[in-house]
Amino acid sequence: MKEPLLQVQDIRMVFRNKKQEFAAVDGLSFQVERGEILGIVGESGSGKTMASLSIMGLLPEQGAIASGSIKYQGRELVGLSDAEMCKIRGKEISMIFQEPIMSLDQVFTVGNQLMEGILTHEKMSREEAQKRALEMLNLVGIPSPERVFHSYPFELSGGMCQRVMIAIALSCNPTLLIADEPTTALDVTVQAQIMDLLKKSRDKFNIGIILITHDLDVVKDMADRIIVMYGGNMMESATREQLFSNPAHPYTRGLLRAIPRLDTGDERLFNIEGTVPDIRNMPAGCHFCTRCWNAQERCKTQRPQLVEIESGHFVACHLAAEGRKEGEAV
Amino acid sequence: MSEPLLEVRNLKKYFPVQHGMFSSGKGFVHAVDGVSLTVEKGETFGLVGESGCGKSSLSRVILGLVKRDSGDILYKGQDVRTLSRSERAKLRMVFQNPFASLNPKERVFDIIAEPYRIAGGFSHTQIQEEVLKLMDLVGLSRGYATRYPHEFSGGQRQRIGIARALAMNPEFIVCDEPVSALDVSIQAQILNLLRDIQKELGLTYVFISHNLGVVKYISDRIAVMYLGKIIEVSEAKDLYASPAHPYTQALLSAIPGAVEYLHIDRVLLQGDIPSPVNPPAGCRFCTRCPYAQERCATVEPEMRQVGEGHYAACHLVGKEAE
Repeated sequence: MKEPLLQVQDIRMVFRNKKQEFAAVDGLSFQVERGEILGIVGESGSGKTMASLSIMGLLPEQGAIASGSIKYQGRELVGLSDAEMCKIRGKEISMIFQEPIMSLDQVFTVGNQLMEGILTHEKMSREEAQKRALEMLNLVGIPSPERVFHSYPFELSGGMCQRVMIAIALSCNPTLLIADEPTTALDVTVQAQIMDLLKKSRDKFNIGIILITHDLDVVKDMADRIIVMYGGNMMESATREQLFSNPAHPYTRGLLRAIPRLDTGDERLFNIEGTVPDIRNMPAGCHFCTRCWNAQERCKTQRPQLVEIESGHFVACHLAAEGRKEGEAV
Repeated sequence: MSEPLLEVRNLKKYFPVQHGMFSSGKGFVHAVDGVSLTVEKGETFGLVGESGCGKSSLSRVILGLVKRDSGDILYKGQDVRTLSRSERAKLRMVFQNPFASLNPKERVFDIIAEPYRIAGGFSHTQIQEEVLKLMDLVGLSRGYATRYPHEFSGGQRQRIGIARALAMNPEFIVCDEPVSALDVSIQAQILNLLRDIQKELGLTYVFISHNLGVVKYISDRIAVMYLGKIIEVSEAKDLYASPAHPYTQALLSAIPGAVEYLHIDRVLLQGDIPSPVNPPAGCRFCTRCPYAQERCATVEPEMRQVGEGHYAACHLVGKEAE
């Protein structure tokens, strides 16, 4: 059987201090193929960003992957040395971040930053690298590439900076792109442009994309497959059609009714009471049990396993696994 | 017809910008450029637009936090600058960032009690009673009164900010992006809370947001801003059912899922918003408008009626359009 582009198997990512460790991500598994867009949805503290940093090997100092495996084209990334990881990062797997203006270096020109990646990973002369850089700027829809090439990031708008980030990320022909909240800091009309660009890049280069966001509507437009995370755990994993037509986990169902949408009428928004528990203080059982309106005794003590309720649709909930959804109070 | 609670006429606010450290001030940011609007008692007036369109500046000018350059702001028919102190306390604000808008050195009790102390004439027991009542109203447990803001999550801090805005029985509250810093599940809690207290206390809101789903949910009427001007005003339902201005159409179609929900075609705008220092002559939107004609670049369009209570500033819509 062909190896998937990226296979993440049951990773547990922890923060350690001298005495204790707390899991920020626990039991996350998924795979991404070329040409596929995987959406990871979750609120702040759900562990979605730590999951992406684990793949890139960019975890903060106190963080570490305690167990599990991350295989890129069959090659294990967990435990790879920094030098080896550097060869993959930016070349094979690249990433774009939430704050486009902050994630570019303000004291170097756009061209400089674009060429840095190309010269690091490709055997090219400076002239060739510059040509490639200008091509990339053109490709991401920047109106006057020569001018932007010589500009500093602070001279550009947020949308332009994100285009530059995408140009940098795509400049070495990666096969996997991780986009961590790429449009959260941008306006809706610019968000539409950037999402359009990501889709076009996927089609043109046949790359896999992991799109991390808190916005369910964004993944609904973009993703082929969606993972819903909460408190570091995978709550639900399904194709886009399955998730939106038949959401199974109470958290997903609550979230879908808590967002004011364009087709929401005057009815009251659904209240998910309470707040996300601190990672140092997660319940022993299901992490959502403190806010779940269906929670039972076993939810507080037993962690629910992922169960396949229809082909390709997994959910981690004791009740949903038994096909029960009743008792939902609004 | 009854007199509107708030009336704004041809309001302008320009901020000077300096080019370089040593040159003298040149040019102005046209933050609010001739805005007129009316807000009726008891309604929620939504204000949407992208960043830099002037919606926050407008709200600050209305409340007098920033001085206006020209134009009138009438509250119950009276210029807001001439309102007495106790009347001014009826106009309040809830801020965007709950992490920056609360004094970290003050306890929750003191934050909410401050308006009473400033107004004077309240005994300690009266203040205590009022503050605890407000904390109940916004869903904060009374035990939190002696804690400091850093001990709370974003959603709870926003509740503190709302309680502070509700002190001294206000009538009119400007909510400047009150939920944009919050997670979606918390956002729903705060939106529900704002709606509940509006019903209970008969408040009037001006609700500012860049999130069109949120604005639709909470507003009765909505104004769309672009580069310092209001380009369309309408009942909330009409705006989403039949957006008249090309910018509104593009804005709505840019929302993920809009094509499906609203049955409209996707209009992908080119380029960025022009600088508010040198806004385009004629229609502000003409540089990005897919339907722009010659006159759009020279003649500024007037507000025209396109339906009942529905106005848009575009040459191509309304009664006089071909």
